[in-house]
Amino acid sequence: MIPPPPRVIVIDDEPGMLGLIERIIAPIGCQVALYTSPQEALARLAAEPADVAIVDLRMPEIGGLDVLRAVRDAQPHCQVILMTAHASVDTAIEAVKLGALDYLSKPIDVARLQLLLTGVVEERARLSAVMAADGEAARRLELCGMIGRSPVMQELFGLVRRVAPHARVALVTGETGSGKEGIAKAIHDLGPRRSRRFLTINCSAVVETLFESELFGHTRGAFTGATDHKAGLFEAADGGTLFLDEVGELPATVQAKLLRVLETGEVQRVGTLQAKKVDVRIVAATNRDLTRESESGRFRSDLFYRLNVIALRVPALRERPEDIPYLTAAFIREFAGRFQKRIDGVRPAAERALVSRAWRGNVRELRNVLERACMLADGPALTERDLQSAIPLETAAAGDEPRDREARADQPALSEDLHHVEREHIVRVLAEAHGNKRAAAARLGLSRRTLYRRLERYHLLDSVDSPQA
Amino acid sequence: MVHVADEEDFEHALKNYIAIILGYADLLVDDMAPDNPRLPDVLEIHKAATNAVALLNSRRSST
Repeated sequence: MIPPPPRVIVIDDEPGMLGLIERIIAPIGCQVALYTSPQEALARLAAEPADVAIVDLRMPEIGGLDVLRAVRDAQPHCQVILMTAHASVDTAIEAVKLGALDYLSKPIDVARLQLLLTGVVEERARLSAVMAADGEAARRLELCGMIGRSPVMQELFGLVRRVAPHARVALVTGETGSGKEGIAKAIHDLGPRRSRRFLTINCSAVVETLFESELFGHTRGAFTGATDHKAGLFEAADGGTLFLDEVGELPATVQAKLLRVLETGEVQRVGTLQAKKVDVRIVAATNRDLTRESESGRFRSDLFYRLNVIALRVPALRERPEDIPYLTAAFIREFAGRFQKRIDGVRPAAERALVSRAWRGNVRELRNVLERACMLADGPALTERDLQSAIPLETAAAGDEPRDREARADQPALSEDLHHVEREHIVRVLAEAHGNKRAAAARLGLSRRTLYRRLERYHLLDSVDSPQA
Repeated sequence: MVHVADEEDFEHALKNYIAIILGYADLLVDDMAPDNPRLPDVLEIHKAATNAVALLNSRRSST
């Protein structure tokens, strides 16, 4: 991709000087806009962003230093070159302090100005080339859309390619946000069942009492509310793949039943003794350490061994920092396209910040941060400032599961704080709804059940009147 | 023409004009082949403009 030519604006109250500068920089291949009025130039800046501004220091309307400040505020990416017929050390120092790229005295040194502009053009081209090359390399080394150039990821991809044609059961482990579902999907897509269904159930999101019916189905009248026969996920995924996400959250009773299905290859709908053969490939995933969980009895060890036939560990992002630039390039391309912005890459300082961050929320967190940064960015390259404003305040816990966050001992103040805010908010909304919990729940975007749980947690149940609907 | 209020303004404006003359002379010199018969003429313009700037600068530093 060839980047558009850099846009240069030149501001000088003397038209003859504008003409001269246009002649000097034209051969470099810039798009040039000339202004005798700094006010007009600044007004147009919002609509027509500039990469470089060449500004006369001494102008009747607004001084060059003020223009420099205004340009930097409006467009931090824009490089400013000041020029003056009265060079003075004081203004030169001030200009550099304010971040001017250079300070030229008139008569203009033609060669020096051309060199400066060429430097800017080359920097732009370099950035774009890095992005393009990174994207290209990433595509060659990716697996079903997952990017991993690092040896650990290439090893994992190799393992996935080897096991995908054969594995009937696989266990994917890795931290939250590391891309376990992507691996599960790749196992499906690279295996013989790629044309069949890939169904997902998040084991942490299902109410315990409904698990059996969800997984195995039920017959009419099996329990209150079972008005019809219903196939479970195992039957629906017959011939395909069932992805059990967060399998570590599976209740003990369901663990036993899942084990039976894995052993016999048969499911029984709730409410019948009749067994049905199913042919389902199981990929389970968890961010828990199931070895430890099974040793301590929280997870059935026999089920663990059944699932752990083929174990795939997805490394955390901090274990493969060398992938961060490639992931960054891919995400920026994605979001620049979605937001229809011209973003060619990240500035070196921003890239260093990205690579050195711990990323507790892994690839998902990186993706979220870049999405916000691309949304906020107003220049062709993401700056450290763009990133800082995109990283949520609760940085240390970002992307962790709520459970982990609550358990995190080094962050008590934060979670207490959040709970306080949540409690206050609930109290206020309840008051506005005159104690009507259904209305309050709707306004809070919670189910009534969840609202009750919150009320219980914050010891608010007794204190609110309950004019139930 | 710019409005000139005082001596400093005057100097500044004059220097600007000379800078324009000098700048275009520079561009011409860059573009001309060394055997171009008009090159000596342009070099004369360039020299005179350079001297004018030097004169202005010396006047400024002496005041």
